[in-house]
Amino acid sequence: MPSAEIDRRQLLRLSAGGAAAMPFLASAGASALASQAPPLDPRLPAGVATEALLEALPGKAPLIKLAYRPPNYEAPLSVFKDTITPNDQFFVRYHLSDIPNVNAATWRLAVGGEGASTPFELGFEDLKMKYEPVELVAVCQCSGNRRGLAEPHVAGVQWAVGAMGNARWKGARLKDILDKAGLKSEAIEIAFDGADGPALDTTPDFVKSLPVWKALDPDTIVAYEMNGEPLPHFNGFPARLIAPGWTATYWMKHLTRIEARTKPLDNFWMKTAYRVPARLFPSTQRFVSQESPATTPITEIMVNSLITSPIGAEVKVGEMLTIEGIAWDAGFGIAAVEISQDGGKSWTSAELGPELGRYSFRSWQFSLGRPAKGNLEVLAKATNAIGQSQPMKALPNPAGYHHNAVARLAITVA
Amino acid sequence: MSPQLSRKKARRTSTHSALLFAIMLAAGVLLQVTASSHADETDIVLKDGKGRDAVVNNCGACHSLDYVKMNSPFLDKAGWDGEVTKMIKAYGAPIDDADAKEISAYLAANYGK
Repeated sequence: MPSAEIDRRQLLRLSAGGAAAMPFLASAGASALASQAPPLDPRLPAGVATEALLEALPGKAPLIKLAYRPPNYEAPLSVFKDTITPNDQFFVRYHLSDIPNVNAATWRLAVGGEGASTPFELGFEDLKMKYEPVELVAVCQCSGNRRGLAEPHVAGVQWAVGAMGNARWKGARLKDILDKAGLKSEAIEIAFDGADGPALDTTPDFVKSLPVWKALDPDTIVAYEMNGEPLPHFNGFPARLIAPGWTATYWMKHLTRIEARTKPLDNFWMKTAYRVPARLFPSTQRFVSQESPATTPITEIMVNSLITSPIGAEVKVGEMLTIEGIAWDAGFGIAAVEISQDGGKSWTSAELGPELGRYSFRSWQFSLGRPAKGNLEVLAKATNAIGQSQPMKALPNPAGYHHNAVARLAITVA
Repeated sequence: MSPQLSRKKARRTSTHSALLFAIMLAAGVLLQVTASSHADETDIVLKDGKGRDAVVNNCGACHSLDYVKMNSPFLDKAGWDGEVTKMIKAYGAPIDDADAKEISAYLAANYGK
């Protein structure tokens, strides 16, 4: 390709990096700022490094661009120093590239299906005014978060650790909406469609379903606010489903249709994608109508943790060093986070931070005192209230889901 | 509920833009930013080689080509065959047999392990 291509690319890097470092200067001549590629985990496939850029989508802060179309952008590790993820730094994940800008004033949500006796439609004001508002903090985590760290690598979006975020969601209970639609006793699944669609008519539209029991959980909501603001366009404006504790594949964005079904939803996104080998993971929440002898749909998030500080991984000898991080699970609650400095032989409890709700990130910290000169490796392992904890190695599976191996950080004390 | 579906469908009947996009991409034309595609993806450069045009024209109709580079270099020929088959069978990509063969051969040769 001609050198003009390279120049444009370098310019892109320059402005993206500048925006990350100095937001106030971003529009005022980024050319003087140093080029900045995002910090990348060395365990990612080599091809990621050639494509990943810090780039801002409209209305968003610079995130790590993995793919332009459909847009897939993850949050850099530094974002997770905050227990609540700011809206503009919340990851972006789409399967299909036809993404309309939805006008809240004309938006309609259709509620019906064979399993509903009184189908109806509602508008944005109806959603906000006619239903009791509820608020909860919950982690939205892509099923394939950390896929890029899988050994061996598997095909898909090569996420590192940032295909997740934690927000305070406000919305209407899905149960209240379904009550108004007259849910019949024969209903077994509730299906959800969003305004986004495929580029080609021949590609299956992204439609997902939940078992009725999860849909009726009082914590499952149709959210219209995120951290006290309207949802960003790229996170599902004007309303999205919040299925707390379950992976983000069920959190339908730009919600347009809720369908009570008397038969299992039979499409690519339920029958082929987002499935894990039966009994491989210690899931306790089942989606019986979608199970097969060999595989089950992915359901709840596996207990997990992340070390968020120090990021530089090089510290000065003689200085106090505190390791910080977050832990989360499907809503059973984080019971403990333990730290090992000897490769997992012995573990010591970290101090847990305030609880923002059972589906939320929980912050934690651990003082290493003044570590001696040399290299050390710190491991962090979370355990939840039902005794589940993180494996030393992620459990291999065809699509690279549920990567929840213990967190590791190599530190050089010099 | 049919109004929602038909509106969505109606919007999609004009999605020859995706194919047009691939053609423009192949021609090196810079696109304007829209809600569903990003001009900067025209910066993505795939390695020269037999089959590159087939990749750009077919794969690029539905997704940016950083998907290819991001997924390298760890798939072998059988792995890339599987990806191309998945795009045709599961995602409904209208790729003819000759192009499919050329695409997976190109991907294995240039982005395989």
